Amino acid sequence: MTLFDLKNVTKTYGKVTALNDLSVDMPIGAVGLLGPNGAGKTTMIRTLLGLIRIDKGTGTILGFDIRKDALKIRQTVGFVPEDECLFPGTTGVEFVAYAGELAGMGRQDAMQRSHEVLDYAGLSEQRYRPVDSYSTGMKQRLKLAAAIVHDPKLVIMDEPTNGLDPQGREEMLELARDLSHNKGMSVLFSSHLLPDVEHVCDHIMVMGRGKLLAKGRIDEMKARFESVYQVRVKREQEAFAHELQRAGCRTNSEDDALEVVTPDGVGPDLIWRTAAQSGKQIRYLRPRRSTLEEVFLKALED
Amino acid sequence: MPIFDQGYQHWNGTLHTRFWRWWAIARRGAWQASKNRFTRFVLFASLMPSLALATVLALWGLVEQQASWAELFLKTFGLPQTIFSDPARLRNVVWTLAFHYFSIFEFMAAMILVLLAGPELISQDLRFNAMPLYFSKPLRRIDYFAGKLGVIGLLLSAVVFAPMIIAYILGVAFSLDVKVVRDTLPVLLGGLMYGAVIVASAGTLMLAVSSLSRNTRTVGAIWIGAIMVSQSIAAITNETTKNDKTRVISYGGDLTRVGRELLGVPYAAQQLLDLTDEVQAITAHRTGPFGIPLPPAPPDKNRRRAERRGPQPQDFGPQGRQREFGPLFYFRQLADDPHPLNLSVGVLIGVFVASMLLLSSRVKSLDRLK
Repeated sequence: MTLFDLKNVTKTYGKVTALNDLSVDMPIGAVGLLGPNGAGKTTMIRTLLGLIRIDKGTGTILGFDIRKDALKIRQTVGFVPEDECLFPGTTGVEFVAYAGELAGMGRQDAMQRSHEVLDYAGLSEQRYRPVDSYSTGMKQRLKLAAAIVHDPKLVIMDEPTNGLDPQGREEMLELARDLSHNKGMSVLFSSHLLPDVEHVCDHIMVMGRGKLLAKGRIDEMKARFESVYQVRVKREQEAFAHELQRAGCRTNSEDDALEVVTPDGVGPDLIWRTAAQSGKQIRYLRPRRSTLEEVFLKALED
Repeated sequence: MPIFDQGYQHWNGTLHTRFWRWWAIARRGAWQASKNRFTRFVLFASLMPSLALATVLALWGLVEQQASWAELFLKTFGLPQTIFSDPARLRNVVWTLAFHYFSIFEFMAAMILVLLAGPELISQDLRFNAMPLYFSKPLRRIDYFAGKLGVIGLLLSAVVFAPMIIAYILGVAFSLDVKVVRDTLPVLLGGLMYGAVIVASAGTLMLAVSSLSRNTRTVGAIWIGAIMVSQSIAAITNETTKNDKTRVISYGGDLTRVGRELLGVPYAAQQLLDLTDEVQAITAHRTGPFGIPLPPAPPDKNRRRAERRGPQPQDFGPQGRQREFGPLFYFRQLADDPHPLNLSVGVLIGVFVASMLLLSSRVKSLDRLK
């Protein structure tokens, strides 16, 4: 079963095309939605939630039609919005219970469940404090608690680590990862920060200008260039390439640098050793970027 | 210890149908509003008119039963004894006018409550950016509006609907006559409908105004301004143009006009006026406390002066009617209400439609939210 499946989806706001004939399907699990600002991530999320009317195309999420089943989708999906948003004048426990009631839970159920998810989100000590007094990190966790109060099958997080300090970010990422990997809840994690997505997700889709640039399993996309390095030396690059080949590496000239593939299980030490033995001075050595990084950087450049 | 170690349990409870989602918003909003001490004070103070209404209806019930102390009560205040001959014929008049006076106070209480609780209903949600939280749940905009309107409905039911119903039940209970229900049920229904009109009209108007600003004080100021300015303009233009149609400029006036019609006040006032001749004939032979006969009342100073100087231009109203003063004039105004009903209804419908349009353009779905 797919998590969502979009076919030729187009959405425009006036002259701006937010989603441009987007076709993508992703499996159940933890999916990262990566792309620079303005790539169309938020529009895609709202499309999936059935919050916006698309101009063209079709799609399903968890088997529900995004055009016809908007309310059913929102019943089954939890959403953590990007912006700071609060129900005014509430304490933490009231906030989450209210979110549960809006999702259709009974008052008592919602209150009981509110305590449970606040415990889970690490806000048990602050549950009776007015939400206006919460820190940014606490507000993010509160929004997550409100999103999962009715136990959705999928939780969509829109830039959940924005504005968080390192500890808050770490806590948020851990929660997202735990939900997706240990609690059987699918997660769609939208971010423009690659490390965050890598930490939480198994699958990824990269967007740019409303289009899909790449998608796949993160480990596969990263593994392709695990033992590939880009090397630049001072003078006699060709001679150094021969030295490396004698040491068991494969080389390929790439503009003013060498692309060096080391034998399996051998790291960059071999390149350093070879350079020392041949008296060459290495000016530049770095692992070759993964496809994922390349795609993401390309999206950023665009 | 990682913060998620306390575990996460799946939930398998049942969900309510979508039809009741608005109720969660209404209930929470009303509870939130009732935390304001001014609101609590108005809620408490507005019980006084309802106590008065219940008392009047109960007393009238006793009069209808011709209780001995009620007769003494009538005699004490010099009221015509003929009322005792057939009190039931005045039943509808008394009940209607009692509800009418009650509605005057409750209208004021309702407007104050709307002012106290209404401004923050939407403006606070806009200020704290709560819309994504609402609309990411299985809610439609109509559920949201209904919930917010329900807040005003719940508060007003505490000052209008509930007291009216309780006073009615007390009145019926004290009358000990089943026919009372037949005669007076339209009055209760009219009163309840009037309350519903206030909730629908003032509620949507307040929600629309509340959606205009993120600052609740600004919203409150706009609301007070709209009510008072429209009232003042209506009074001034009516005075200068002598045209009754200008009365519809007053929003509060339009609401109360519709309320009078729903309660059947014009018909009750007319019935009362029809009895005037009879009552005047009786009161010519006035009796004081404990049945002591009194001499005929001398005409008051103003009336004597007016009789000496004859009719003056200022004594005539806009349509050339001679001006009267006192209760009779008031009842004549009620019977022949100069406030044009159809135009008032039109204005209220127009305000309602405009409010809904404003609401729908200000409270957008997430499609157009940032």
